[in-house]
Amino acid sequence: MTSLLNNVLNAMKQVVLEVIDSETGTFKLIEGSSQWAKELFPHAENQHPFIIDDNIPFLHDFLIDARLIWQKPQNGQLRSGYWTEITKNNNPLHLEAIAIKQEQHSLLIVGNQCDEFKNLQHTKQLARDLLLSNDRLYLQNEYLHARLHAILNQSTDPSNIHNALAKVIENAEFGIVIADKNFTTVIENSAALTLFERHKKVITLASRPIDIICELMKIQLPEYERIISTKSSWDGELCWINPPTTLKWLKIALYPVKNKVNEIENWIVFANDISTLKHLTQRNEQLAQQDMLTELPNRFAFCQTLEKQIESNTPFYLLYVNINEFRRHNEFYGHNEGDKLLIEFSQRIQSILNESDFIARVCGDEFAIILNNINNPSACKAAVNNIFNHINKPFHTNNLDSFKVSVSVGAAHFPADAKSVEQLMKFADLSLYHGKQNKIPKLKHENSLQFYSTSMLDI
Amino acid sequence: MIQKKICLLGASSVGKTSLVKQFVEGIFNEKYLTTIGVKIDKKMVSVENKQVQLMIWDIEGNDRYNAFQERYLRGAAGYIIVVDQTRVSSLSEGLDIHTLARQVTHCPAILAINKNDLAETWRLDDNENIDYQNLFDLHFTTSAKTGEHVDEMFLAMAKLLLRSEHNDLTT
Repeated sequence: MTSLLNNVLNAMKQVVLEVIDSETGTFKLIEGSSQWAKELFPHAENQHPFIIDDNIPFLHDFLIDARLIWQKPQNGQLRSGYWTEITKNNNPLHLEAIAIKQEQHSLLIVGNQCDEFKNLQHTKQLARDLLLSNDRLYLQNEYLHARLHAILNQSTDPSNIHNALAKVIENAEFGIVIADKNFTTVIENSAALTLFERHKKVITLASRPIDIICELMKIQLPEYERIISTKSSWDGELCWINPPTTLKWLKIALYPVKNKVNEIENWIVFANDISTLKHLTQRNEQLAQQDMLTELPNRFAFCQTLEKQIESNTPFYLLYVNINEFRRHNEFYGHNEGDKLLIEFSQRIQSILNESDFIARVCGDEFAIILNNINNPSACKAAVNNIFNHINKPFHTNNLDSFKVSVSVGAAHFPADAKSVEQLMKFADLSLYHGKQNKIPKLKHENSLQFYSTSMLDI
Repeated sequence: MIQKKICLLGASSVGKTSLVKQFVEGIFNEKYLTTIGVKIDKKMVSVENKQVQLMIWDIEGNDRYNAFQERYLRGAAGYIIVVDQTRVSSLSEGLDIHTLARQVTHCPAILAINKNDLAETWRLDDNENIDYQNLFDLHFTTSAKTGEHVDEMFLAMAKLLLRSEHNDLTT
């Protein structure tokens, strides 16, 4: 029995010491005989009493608290918490001691908790990295807000505001426009003016970059109203066609600047001309309809497919899928890892869809899926659960760090919820947004599916 | 031989372990590895012709995952509150820890504003400097990476402890 117990203790990397005299810190090793224990307690062999002194200062200090347990008449125990000890042979030991009073026996169990320690360290490391990353983002946000507010509040004279802001953004190689809450231009940099230049005509109010961007968004984004009314940010691609000569592909990012009471004070727009990249891809008609990163069909290919689907008058579900906390992931691991995630994420979903289904990347971290041959919510739910199952498996960075992602899904049904391309896209987006907004904080990082309901239109 | 226990306290990720590593081993590792529990290092220093063994308790940083534990301060002759000059929140967290520590000990305390090799994002103004001079026995701006002021800080702590011991004996 003793031998069995000894084996168990060795396997658990623990030794049991019996208290001989708690005042002097004298103990006797009664079970356990691992090498690490011999290094830690070199005088403990052959059940000889030995003293724990300040050669092991942490444990020596813990004995002060442990005495209170051993001196009590009733049963009890106390844990020391982890500490690290480097043995004379330079082995790091990650230890924890437990003082136990049990049926008049005073015991001290010392465990070499290497695996538990490393697991805990890994978990806390990730948690603390996230805290740091969050802190940094918060500071950057604070700094940018402070700068913007300082500049915007510096003077009521618009030219002064313009000058101060222009110094900050003028050198940017991409277009930057800052507009007020009604999309009236406050400032625009040269790159923005060049981007939307029309044969060097004098820029009239109607053709300012912000007006063109808003017009394009209204026409090309069914969710435009929702983005504006919910004061959300958006990024994605727009196509600017202005016959006879202009055809530009623009990568647009729109960000709201809100005050303390959540009112819009300004809109900031970043605009990049990605026409060259697009023209290169347009050598091949298929590629022109393809998202360059994930190689999935892009937003325009998706719209065309959706249109054909509606024309066929066959019922289907349209899903909008958004990766939760993707921006945070990008900040934390960097944009290359963010791109890697988008590619792998899209591949995983693609691998489980039926041939008759269709998936496209519609913007940043948002995907649209047409689920064919499904005509009731429970079947849709089952298909989405299948997606969840595949997304739940860990992803890996290039450095082999493992992480998990979750998604929010919005679903709208054709023809029950809507019968047009615009409305279906709008309602799927609204459901996704609604599901995200209404998550209880505890489930913020959980997968979720939200079906469209007409009540969402009232919000 | 005189032996003195010194505790390093502060929020997580401010560089407590790196300061100890720089002081004891003279090395710095760029990779951040969070401390779990406590690790104790010893280093002998010579102060005013006396050999003093510093027993440095490097204690896991305090944050939402690890609350301050006053028991680690038991028997401490002095402690160092470490804050990060690139993260202003670490100062308020450090001061909170200092307040808690003051409830159990009035031993000498030093404020270490660490990571001075990186661009600072906050700075003590003149008034704060005066306020903190009253709160701490000394303060240093340190860099565990370059080693700047690290030895000076620990030696200053050792001197403080010897003087405090001398004062205890003479009063």
